[in-house]
Amino acid sequence: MKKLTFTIILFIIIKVSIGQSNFECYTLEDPYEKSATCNNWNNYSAVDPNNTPIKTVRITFHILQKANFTGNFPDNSTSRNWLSVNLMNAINGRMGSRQSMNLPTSSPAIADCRIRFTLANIYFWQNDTDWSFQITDSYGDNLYTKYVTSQAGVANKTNSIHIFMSENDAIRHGRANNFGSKDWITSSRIYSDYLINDTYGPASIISHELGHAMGLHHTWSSFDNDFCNDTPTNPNCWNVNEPTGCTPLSNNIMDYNANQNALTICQINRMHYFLLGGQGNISDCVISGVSVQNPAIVGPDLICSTGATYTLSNLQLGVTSTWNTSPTNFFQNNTGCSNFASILPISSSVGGAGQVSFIFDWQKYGTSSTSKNLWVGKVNQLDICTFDRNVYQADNIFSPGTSCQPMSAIISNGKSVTMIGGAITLNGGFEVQLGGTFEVKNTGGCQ
Amino acid sequence: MKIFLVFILILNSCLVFGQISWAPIGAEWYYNYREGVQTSATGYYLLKSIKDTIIDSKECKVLSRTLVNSKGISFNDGQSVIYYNSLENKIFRYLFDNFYLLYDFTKTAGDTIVIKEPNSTISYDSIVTVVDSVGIETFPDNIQLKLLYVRSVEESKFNFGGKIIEKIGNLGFMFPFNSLACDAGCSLPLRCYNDDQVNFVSQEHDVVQVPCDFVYTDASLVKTADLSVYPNPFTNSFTIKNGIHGERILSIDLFDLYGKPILHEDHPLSKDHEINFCNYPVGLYYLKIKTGSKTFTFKLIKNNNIQ
Repeated sequence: MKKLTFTIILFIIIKVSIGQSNFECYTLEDPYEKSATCNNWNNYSAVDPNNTPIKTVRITFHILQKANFTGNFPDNSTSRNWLSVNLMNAINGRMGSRQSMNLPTSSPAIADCRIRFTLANIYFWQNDTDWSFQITDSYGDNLYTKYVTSQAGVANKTNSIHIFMSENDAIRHGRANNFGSKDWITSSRIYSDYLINDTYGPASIISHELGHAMGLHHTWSSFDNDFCNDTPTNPNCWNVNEPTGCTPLSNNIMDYNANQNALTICQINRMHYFLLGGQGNISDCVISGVSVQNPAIVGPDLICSTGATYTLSNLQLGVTSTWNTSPTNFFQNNTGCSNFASILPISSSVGGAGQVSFIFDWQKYGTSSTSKNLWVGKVNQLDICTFDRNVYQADNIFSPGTSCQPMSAIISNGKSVTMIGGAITLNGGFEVQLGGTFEVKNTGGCQ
Repeated sequence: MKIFLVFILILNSCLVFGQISWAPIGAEWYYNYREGVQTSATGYYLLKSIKDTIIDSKECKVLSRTLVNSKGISFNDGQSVIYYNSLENKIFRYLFDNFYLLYDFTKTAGDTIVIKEPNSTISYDSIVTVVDSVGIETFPDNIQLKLLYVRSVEESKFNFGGKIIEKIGNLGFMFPFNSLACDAGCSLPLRCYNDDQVNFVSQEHDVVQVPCDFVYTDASLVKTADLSVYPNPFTNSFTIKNGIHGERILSIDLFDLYGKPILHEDHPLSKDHEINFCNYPVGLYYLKIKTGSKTFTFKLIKNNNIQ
């Protein structure tokens, strides 16, 4: 009996052990890394914000008042001026002079996010219930229905973000309808802030809610995927020393903190993407600042076996790009989604004329594209008739070559051409116009 | 002897497969409750398993939902019902007369889990998550619980990402939450979980070392009648008015947002003491005033000069 009991206990132990070892264990080093897609803004980090025209977005203030006019934000020239000048300056100040991130990030510091808001209208409404800010899901929807879509003079204001400002107790609340939604934003405590001339607080919360309307998620935790890799999470520390010992403190506008004065390049790209019409209907409120201009491709004319990287200058914020190469049998990689293309020849023996092209998606404003001609690998013989790039390299270069009809090759005014080769033969019809430059090298390039 | 063997084998099965229970009566989840974007006023949100119930022949648990705000006032926020399918190791939530998947611990890395949006009766309104990784965490008494790390992968106002522990649930919130609603009050993340087997304090909560039922009132909301600082917000200077009977201010310390000391003064003489602050950037500052019996802390805002 003792043997039997011992055997059974041993069996239980073995079974428990086997049961536990069946679980899978994976590396947990970075469980929140996002996958690469064309809308992964981490692929567009080299964008230069200063080349993006400032987009102006229209907003409308709706002030909720009590019917007996006690405890109300007043409707007079002073209060209207406070909204249209002081508060608007504070909001736009946050857009135009941002600080660098406190927490470690791969993002460069971006001072100007190239977005501004303009005040279209101010409306005053009297309703005791609506005057008091409500946390419920339906509060914003009800306000939008009651004071926008049901009002004859307001329903047509569809190119503006409607911001409802109400009161409650001492705590400042806010809410946005949805990511990319122009319909409504709510914000509380406007009268309390007005009484003490505090534009800092309302500008903070309105900027935060406008961030949601322009597609930004919270950055505070892994519970909320914000689709940006350069926004570090932080350990539930919402304010310095509140509660005591709380550190470190984020200053990202989409985090919960007292300063709210920083944005990353990924976040700024996402906002511009939404404002171009990439998602939602917020782009209806953009009244100026969209200018479709092709960036320039920057990179070498010649690709050797080690490959080359092509970047873009003047790519605007929010514009996504895909790239491709031709002919496809020249390269190991022929397509990608990013603002740079790192391409490799398929082998060291391939050689000839190729091209890298970028296609830019301006969302509701269409697409544009630009290309660059290039040379791949080693070329034995090259006949040059027209000069469409700056560097030509081959073992034997003829210009104009016998294949050129007519027999001419003209380096025009302002053009600079370098020929690299073992033997370079210039035939009749070769010409360098006044202002053009011409250089010959017999080494270098792909050997 | 045969009966004894059968008994032992059943017991064996129970030990291996029945050791994990979800929401035993009395189990409690304490979540942090933030009252807004720009306040440190904090209460907590309590889920508590209060009774068993049977729905569609399924043995379910009823969870009470209670919000306790930063002033310690309780609000009944209704009830939720969950069902644990122990054979499939899945948790379901009862919503709109149907059971919807909440947790699935059979999933592995790369798998997709689709979860119902909690406030929509439309069946296809759902949150799509992927499992980034899985694992096991060992608790005292050698209790081993499965882990899932999941991430929302589609744009939605509802979120359900982060770390999920068997028996404890999502360390953000038990159920999917509307991220946008958080700006007006938000019950996450988990502070503590306890039942008769497991006592768990979240690492995120542990950072601030406070009890599970801790509430915190924003210092700027406390009115200090006898000691005031005005104007606040200020532009170039502010004044400290000492109206405390029979007590003098011993020292004044001003810190920036990051706790860096900006200014220190001992024994200011006047009862209305003005501090010129025009050479510092706009932003938020903390003013600490020490009297003989007490220390007061004020949150000050310096505004733009254009006002």
